[in-house]
Amino acid sequence: MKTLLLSSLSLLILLFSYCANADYDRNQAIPVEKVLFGKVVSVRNISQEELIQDKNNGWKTFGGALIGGVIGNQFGGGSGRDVATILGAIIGGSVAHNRHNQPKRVVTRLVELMITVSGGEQFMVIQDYDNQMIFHTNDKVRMIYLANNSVRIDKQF
Amino acid sequence: MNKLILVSSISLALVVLSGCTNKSVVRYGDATAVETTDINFGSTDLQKVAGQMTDSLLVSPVVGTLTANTRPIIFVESIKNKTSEHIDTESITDSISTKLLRSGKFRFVDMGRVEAARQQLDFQQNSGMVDASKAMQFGQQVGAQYMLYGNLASIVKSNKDKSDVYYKFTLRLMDLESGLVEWADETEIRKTKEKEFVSW
Repeated sequence: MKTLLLSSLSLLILLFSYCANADYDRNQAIPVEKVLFGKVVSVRNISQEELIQDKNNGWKTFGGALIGGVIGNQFGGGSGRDVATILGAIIGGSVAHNRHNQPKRVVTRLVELMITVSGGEQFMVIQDYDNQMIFHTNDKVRMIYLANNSVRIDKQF
Repeated sequence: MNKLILVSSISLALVVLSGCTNKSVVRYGDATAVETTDINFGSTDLQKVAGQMTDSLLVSPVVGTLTANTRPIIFVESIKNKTSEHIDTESITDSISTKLLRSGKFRFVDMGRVEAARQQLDFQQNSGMVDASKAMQFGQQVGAQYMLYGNLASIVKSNKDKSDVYYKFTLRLMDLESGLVEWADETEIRKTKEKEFVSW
C-alpha cells in the first residue's frame, strides 16, 4: 500500500521534472550589455562531478574548482594562462537541488569553449551543455554579456 | 485515510499526465497577419524591417542616381545581431535582397554559395563528363561593387507589470572601391507587453 503511494508520488515528481525545460531560452528578449563576435577555436565537453554543500554557495565552489581543473588540463603548456576565463550562464537545469542540506554528488554536463573574438582577444567560456545548440570548431559565435552579469555563447546564423 | 491519499495522488498524477499531452490542431493562416504571440522578435517584425528598408533604399535619390544607367552588383554581408535573441538575420537579408532583385534595379552575388559554384565549375572543367567547348570557365565571375551590411540591436526594459522592447535595425550600402557609405537607413520597432486586468 505504502509502496504504491510512494511510487505514484515519485511518478508525479518525475513528470514535473520532465515538463521543466532545462535548455537555454535563447529566443527571449532580455537586456544585453554588449555582444562580441568571434569564432570557436576549440570545444570540449566536460562531465564534472563535484561535491555541493548547499544550493547557495555551491556554485562558487563548483566554479572555482572546475575552472582550475579545466585550464590545467588543456593549457598546461603555457599560452593558455593568459586567456580570460568566464564561467558562463550556467542555468543549473541538469543539477538536482539539494533539499536535505547534506553533501551530495551530482554530475553536470558542461561545454568548454575557447573563443577568439574579432579584435583578436581570446576567451574561455564554460557553460551548460545544450542539446539544442552543439558547438564545433570554427563555428561563428556571439558572446553575449547579459545584464544579469552572466555571459552566454550563441551560434551566429 | 490511506485509500483517500492513494486515490487523490493517482488522480493528480493523471491530471499532470494529461497536462503534458495536449491535443493539437493544425490550421493554415495568413502569412502576413500581425503576430503578437509574445514580445520577442517575430515574423511581423521581420516583414516590417525588410519592407521598410527595401522601400527606403529604392526611393532614395542617391540610389536613383546609382541605378540610372546600370544595375549595380551588390553582395550582402551578414547582419550583426546584437540582441539577446537567437534571430535568423540571414532571413532578414534574404527578404531584402529578394525584394531588391525583384525591383530589377540591382544584381546580386551570393557569397554563401561560392563553394557550391566552385564545385560545379570544377566538375565541368575536370570531371571529363562535360563537353569542354560548352563548359563554364573559371575566372569569369563579376565582382560586387557594393556591400550591404547592418546591425540589429535591442533595448529591453521590464518591471513586474510591463515589458518594453525596442529594436533598431540599421542597414548601409557601401561602395567597395571608394569605401564611401552611399546610403543608410534605420527602422525602429517598439513592442510593449502589459498585464491586463480583466473584469467581468
